[in-house]
Amino acid sequence: MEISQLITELQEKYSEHLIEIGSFGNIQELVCLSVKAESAPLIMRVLRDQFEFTDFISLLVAETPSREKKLRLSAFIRHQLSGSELVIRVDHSITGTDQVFVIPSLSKIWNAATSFEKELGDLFGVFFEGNNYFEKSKKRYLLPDNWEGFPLRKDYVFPMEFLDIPHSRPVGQSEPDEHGFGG
Amino acid sequence: MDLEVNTLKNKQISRWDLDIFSKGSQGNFSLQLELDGDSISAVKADRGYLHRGIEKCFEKSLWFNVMPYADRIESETSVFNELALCLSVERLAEIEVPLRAQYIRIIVCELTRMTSHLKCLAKIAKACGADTATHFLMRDREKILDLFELLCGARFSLNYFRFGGVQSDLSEGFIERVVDLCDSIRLRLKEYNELLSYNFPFLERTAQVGCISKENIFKYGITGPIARASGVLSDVRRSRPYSLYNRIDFEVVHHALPVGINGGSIHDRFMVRLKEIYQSVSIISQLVDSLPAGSVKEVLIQQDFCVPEGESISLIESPRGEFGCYIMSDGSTSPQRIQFFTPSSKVFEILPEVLKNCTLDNFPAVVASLDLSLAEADR
Repeated sequence: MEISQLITELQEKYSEHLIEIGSFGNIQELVCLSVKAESAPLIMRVLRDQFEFTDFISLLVAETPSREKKLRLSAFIRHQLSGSELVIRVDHSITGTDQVFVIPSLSKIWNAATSFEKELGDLFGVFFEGNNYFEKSKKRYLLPDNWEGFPLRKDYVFPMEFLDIPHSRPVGQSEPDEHGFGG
Repeated sequence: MDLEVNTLKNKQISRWDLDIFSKGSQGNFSLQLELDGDSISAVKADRGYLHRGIEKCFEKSLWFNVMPYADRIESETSVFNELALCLSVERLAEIEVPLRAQYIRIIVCELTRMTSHLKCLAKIAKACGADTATHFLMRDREKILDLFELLCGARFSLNYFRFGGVQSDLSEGFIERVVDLCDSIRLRLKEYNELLSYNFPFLERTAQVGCISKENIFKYGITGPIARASGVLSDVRRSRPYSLYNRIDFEVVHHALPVGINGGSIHDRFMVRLKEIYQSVSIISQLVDSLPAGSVKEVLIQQDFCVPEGESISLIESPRGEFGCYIMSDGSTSPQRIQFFTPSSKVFEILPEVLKNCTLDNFPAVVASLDLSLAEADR
C-alpha cells in the first residue's frame, strides 16, 4: 500500500474528518494525519480494516509547548505487509488543572494499545473509554493507589509528603539530631 | 478477586499469591495464580513497583544531562536506551555522527545484545535445573562486561554515547580483546549447543511448552526474539535499517516451522537467542575488520545545548524487541517531553495468556524465556 495512494483515498472519502496531512516533525517520509477528536475512532477503524494497518507500534502522549495548552496523542501504526508507517494525531485542549480527559479507547481497534493506555492514562489523567482495565479497576496502574494528581502534566505540583514521609528535608535543618543522624 | 477461571480439570482449586518479596517471585511484579491441581487456570499480573518517574526526571533536567537518566531505564542494556535517545535528538537537531563513532556504537550495541541473550539463556537453564550451563553462560557474559569496564569504566549503565558520537575513543587493546572474544564465543556456542540444545531432559522441559501462536504475537504487538521464535520475521535492523545496519551482512534468525506444528515454545526462544549471539559475533567481526580512523565526536555538547523546536522519533532493535524514543522540544535547554516505548510493556500483557494451562514446574522456565525487564516496562 503506497502512502500517497492512501492519502488520496482518505482525502476523497473522509476529508470532513481530517484537519491536516503533513509530516511528523522533520521526518519527511513519516506521514502524520491530524484528525478531529470525535472522528478519530472512525479513521482508525478505516485504516485498520480497509487499508490493513494492523500493527500498533506506540501511543505517544505529550503536552505541546504552545501558548494554547494541548494534550497531543499520536498513534504510531504500521502496515503489516509493506511496513509503511503512519502517525494519527489528535489534540485536546487543556482547560484546567487535574482535568481528566475521556477518550475512546484504541484497544478495541488495536489490542496492543492496551499497555500504553494503562500507563499513559495513569500519568496524564486520560480515561480511555472501553479499555477493560479502566472499566473494571479503579486502581492506579503504575503509581500507588492513593497517589493524587497526574505527574506528567506540566502543571503538576509534587506533594511535600506521602504516607507521612516528607519529600525533602525541611529548610533550615543543618544540625544532626540527638542520635547523630542527619545534618 | 476478579480472576476469570476458564476450565477446571481436577477442580482442586487453590490460589498462590506471588508478591515481589515472596520466595517464588519471578521478578519485580506480582502474580496471583489460580491453580487447578498443579495446572495454572487463571493469572492476574500487576506491575508498577519499579516506576521511578524517569520521564518526569528528563523534563526537570537539561538536554546536556539526560543521558544518565536514559541509561537507568534498563541498566543492563543501557546502550540501547542511549542509542534511541541519540538517534532522535541527532535527527531533530541535524547533528552528524562521525563514521568511526557509528562503528563503535554498533560494536558496543551488539556486545550488549550478546550479554542480554547470554543472561536470558542462563535464566532459562537455571529454571530447568541445568546449573552447569548457567555458570558457563554467565562466565562468558563476564568477559564481555570486562570489556565494557575497559572501555568506559562501567559494567552496566555505560553512559558512553553522546549526542553526535561517543564519549571517547576505544581504549588501547580493546579491539584485540574483542577479536579474541569473538573467536572464543564461536567455540562456546558449539559447547552450549552440545550441552543443552538437544539434551533430552532439557527438551522435555522446554519443547512445546509455553507456546505463543503467531495470532497472539500480532494481537499483542510482540516483537523481538519472542516474535521471531513464533515464526514472525520482525527485526527493525532489517525492515527499517538505522545507523550502519544497511551495510552489514547478517541473517534475521527466526523459527520457520512446518504448518501444524506449534511454534514459539521455550525451546524455540532459547534457540533463536543462541543463534542471534552467533549473528552478533558475525556483525562485530565485520565492523572490526573495517573500522575506519577518525574522530569519535565532532560536536561538543555543553550546558547551553538546545534542541530546535519540534518532534522526532527513533526505532531500534533492542535485545528484547522494538525499542523507541519520542522527543518533543520547545527550543530550550530542557526537554519538553521524552517518551520511551519498550518491548517489555507489551510482553507483560501476554504473560497471563502464556501462563494459562502451564504447570507449576514449567512456570519459572516460561517466565524466564520471556526475558521480561520490569525496569524498562515501568520506567
